Amino acid sequence: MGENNNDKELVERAQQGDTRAFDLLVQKYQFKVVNLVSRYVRSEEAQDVAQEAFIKAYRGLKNFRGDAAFYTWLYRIAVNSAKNYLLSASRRQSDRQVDVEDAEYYDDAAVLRDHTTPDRMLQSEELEQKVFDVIHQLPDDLKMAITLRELEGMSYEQIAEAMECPIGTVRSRIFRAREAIDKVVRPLMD
Amino acid sequence: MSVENELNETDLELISASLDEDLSEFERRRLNTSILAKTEGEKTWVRYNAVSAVMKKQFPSNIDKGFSSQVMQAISEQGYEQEEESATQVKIKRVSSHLKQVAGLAVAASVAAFSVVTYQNFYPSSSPTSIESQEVALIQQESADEMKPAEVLTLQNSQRVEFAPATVQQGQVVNVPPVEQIQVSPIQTNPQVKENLYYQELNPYIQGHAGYGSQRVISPYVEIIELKDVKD
Repeated sequence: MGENNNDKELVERAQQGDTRAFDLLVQKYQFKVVNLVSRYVRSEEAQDVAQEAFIKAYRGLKNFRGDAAFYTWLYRIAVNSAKNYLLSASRRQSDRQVDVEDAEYYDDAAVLRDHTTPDRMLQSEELEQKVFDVIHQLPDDLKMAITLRELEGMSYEQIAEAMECPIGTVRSRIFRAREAIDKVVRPLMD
Repeated sequence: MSVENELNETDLELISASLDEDLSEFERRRLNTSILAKTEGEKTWVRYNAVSAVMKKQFPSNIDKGFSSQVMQAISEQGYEQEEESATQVKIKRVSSHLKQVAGLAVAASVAAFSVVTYQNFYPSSSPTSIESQEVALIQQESADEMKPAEVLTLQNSQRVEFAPATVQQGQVVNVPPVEQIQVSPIQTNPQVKENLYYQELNPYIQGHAGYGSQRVISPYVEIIELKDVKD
């Protein structure tokens, strides 16, 4: 564990023009990036900015040398995109003010529109509630393994030492915990 | 779900282990080329990552279910291509270097022309007209009033002098013959007298303006100093 070899491989494939590999990276990091960007901009704008960040990352992928982890590089791009968005938004805001009723007639009216369409959006509160409900109901060994991994960030080796079991058992326990959670999450996400 | 799309428990465990970077080289290859190529494998990969984000409190308050599809659609529809930044940088550097050379030459030429004109003004023709003679007499008179006998010009320490030509260093003493010792004839045509007067005017001028020139454009000043040495 440590260096993310799977990301590295996906990046290398994407650098060679495999858009499918980049798609997998987007799917993996979309939640983190949108969440990160929403700390800077309003949540309804976060997706647009995050999308811009991913597009920038794709366009600049050939310049990614792998010195840092892919997510570290992506993180910087996302933060810069959010800051640039805030700068340009503040300039636009000083230029003119638009009524909510007239918002649809302006190109930059996205700022004023309500993006929330419940059918298409994942509701984080509901998701979070269900995930932690399942975790509380898990057998102790599975609960401990998944908690140490996801919340404490411990490696398989560290967990094996803490739980006094082989690494293979840790891997299996974490997988079974994820499967149990996935059964509840699947209807919400698919 | 077709049979090809189905995942067995080992496949799912590989997806789980990939989140924790606990895959062998063989397992990683199998995951990327086979498991994640299946629709069900991809969906499971997204859900596992979503749950991981939820547990770490990194899940956004609102996110469209089709966000990643929108990103990839934007990339393909708008024809975005990966750019190589290094090529652009080299291009910029070349332009910048070229511009610098041109600008440097332009500045050097301007300063040279200015110096030549200045030099000509300080060195009128060997047979001065009556107006020139009057000017020389006037300058000589003013200099004699203002300057002490046996005046020795010493370059003062100042920031502007730091950029002076190499031939005129800080603290260097430039000897100028005493004004009183110069016998000025009424006609004012003695070339030695005139030359000394020019030095008295020119040296402070150079000292006062040397700071405006960069190291690249001071060559005209060096030429003037060399001429002085030849005269001496």
